[in-house]
Amino acid sequence: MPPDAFDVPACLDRVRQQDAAAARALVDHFYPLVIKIARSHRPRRMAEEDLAQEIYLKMFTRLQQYHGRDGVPFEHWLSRLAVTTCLDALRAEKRRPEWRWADLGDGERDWLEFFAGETPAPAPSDALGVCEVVEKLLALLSTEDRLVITLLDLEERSVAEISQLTGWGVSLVKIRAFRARRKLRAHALKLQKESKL
Amino acid sequence: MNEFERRWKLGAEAARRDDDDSPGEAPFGFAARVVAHWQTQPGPSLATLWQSLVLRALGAVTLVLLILVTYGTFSSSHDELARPELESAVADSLVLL
Repeated sequence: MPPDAFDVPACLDRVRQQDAAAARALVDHFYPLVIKIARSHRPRRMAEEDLAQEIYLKMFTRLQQYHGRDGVPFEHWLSRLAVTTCLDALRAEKRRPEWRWADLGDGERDWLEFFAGETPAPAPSDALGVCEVVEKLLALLSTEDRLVITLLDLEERSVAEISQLTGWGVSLVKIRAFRARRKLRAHALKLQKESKL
Repeated sequence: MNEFERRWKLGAEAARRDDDDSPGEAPFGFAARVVAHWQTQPGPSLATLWQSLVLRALGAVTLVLLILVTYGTFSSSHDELARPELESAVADSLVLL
């Protein structure tokens, strides 16, 4: 069945009647959406598929709470459910890692020095290094701060969209992003200082 | 935008470029596993149902109490006998009698 022809309301009706085939079709249809969110916001020690499964189980359990007549598309409802499930999983991961300068590879160090620097300098070219260092810096933030920066800066979502996904007000999203970037800078400076010791 | 924010944006852009693998289809058997898991999940336990019932009852009782308190406050303010100056005047006249 082509993706455009997938009839979500009809499928949901069948799932509500415990139709296993419809439930499998629903899982398959929304897999790209769910796995993308799970991949971006999963705790370090949790496999993305396990988190996706948790999201789907929550979706099935709470399906009675979704009413299409409210005008909210199912995709939006599911995205919000996925984000809150990821937030809960991240919160459950109580211990936050503590990175040391010695833990970073050469590419990561170049990027970290670039982030912490003040004098004009070209951005390093190591693409793998930037992914690693961005992930390590984000892991140092609180769950909410990490979420807002990932959604805003890495996924390029709008403030309104983030507000809808998280349930936070627009001003709260902006303030949280501002403070989170300040914390990122502080972490980058702290790590860079270690290199000079 | 300060210098850090500018640099962070450049880094985020580079990280985005490298992380551009769009998710494809669900792995074979994933949907079947999830659905089987869902169907074997026990329904809400009696304790959970009881808990939600008690919470709702508690909410309703609180609401009724609030309404009664509000009603009591407003109705007592119209009760002229409850006004101290009136009560003193009545008491004084009784003493004089």
